[in-house]
Amino acid sequence: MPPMTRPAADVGVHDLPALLALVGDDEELMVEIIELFLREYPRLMGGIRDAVTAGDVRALQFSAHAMKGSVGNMAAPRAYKAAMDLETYARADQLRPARDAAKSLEHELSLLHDALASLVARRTG
Amino acid sequence: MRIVLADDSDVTRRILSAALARFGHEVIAVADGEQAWAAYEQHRPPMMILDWQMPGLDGLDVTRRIRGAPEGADVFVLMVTGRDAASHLTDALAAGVDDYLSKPATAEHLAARVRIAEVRIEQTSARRRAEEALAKAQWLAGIGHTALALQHEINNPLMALLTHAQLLSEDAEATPDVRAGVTTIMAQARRIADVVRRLKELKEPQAVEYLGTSRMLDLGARRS
Repeated sequence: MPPMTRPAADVGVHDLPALLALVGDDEELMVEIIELFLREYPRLMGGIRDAVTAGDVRALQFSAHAMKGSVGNMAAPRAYKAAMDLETYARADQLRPARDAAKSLEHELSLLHDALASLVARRTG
Repeated sequence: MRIVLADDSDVTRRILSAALARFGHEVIAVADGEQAWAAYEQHRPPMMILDWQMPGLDGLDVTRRIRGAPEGADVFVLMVTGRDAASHLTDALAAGVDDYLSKPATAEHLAARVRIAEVRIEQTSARRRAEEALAKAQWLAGIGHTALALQHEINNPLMALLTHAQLLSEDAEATPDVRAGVTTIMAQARRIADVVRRLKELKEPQAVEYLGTSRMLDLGARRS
């Protein structure tokens, strides 16, 4: 089973060994995909915000699922769980808890962004 | 092996493309279902790796299209997705997906799945070759049976025809018109005998185009 499939809630913002395993221990590729993620996730989060504002649970489910896949690639258990919770609420048509889950996800993404940007800076600096 | 990979996430596409390239495969990476279908039609790859959820055509839609296309039944479709409930797996299999890999997929898991695909693709290819060889053997056997039947059913009456025509041609009272007619009958009867002989002696039968719409057995005959 892939290390990120069932993330534990108490693991850190991201799991570097798991991230390296995803890219076959290729650090250059790891930096490249982190940079791709840092460009990709704001667009996905924008889709989530729009769906929450519109109260469109179907669009929210789609966007949350895409975000879950994207943060899964970063071996980021907390952000992954937040995206999974959001997808679950959207699928269950529960908009109110979905709004809270979206806020929680945004917070986790902010932490993840800082951690990944710092990691890239260390590897490229 | 040539593989079309479709995923709307730039990150996932890059990770999977890099892993597949590392295993020595030629990867055609696209970002949605429409592009995946277009890439399938253009390249006819033995393997497709599809994300389930994509804008427009999703992975299941693309799979159904492939299965409905000529020779699409032989394409190995691997679904890579975050949907891993049993009901999702059932839906994927019903659409024609061959195998299933949960996201995020490590290079090792992907390598194992692609190896499974390679084995299946080779088995399918070997089965197709065996089916083609069997069909050709049946075709050749049919020609052999036909040649024997023609030899039996045509040669005997043909010999009677030629014998009587020969007797007529030797008749001293026959008029020139009758002699000319008998000569034509004998020439055409010998031609029929020659066709039967060539059919019987045919070593490597080939079908050739006939009248633009049909095919017929090539007996190598000169046609007048």
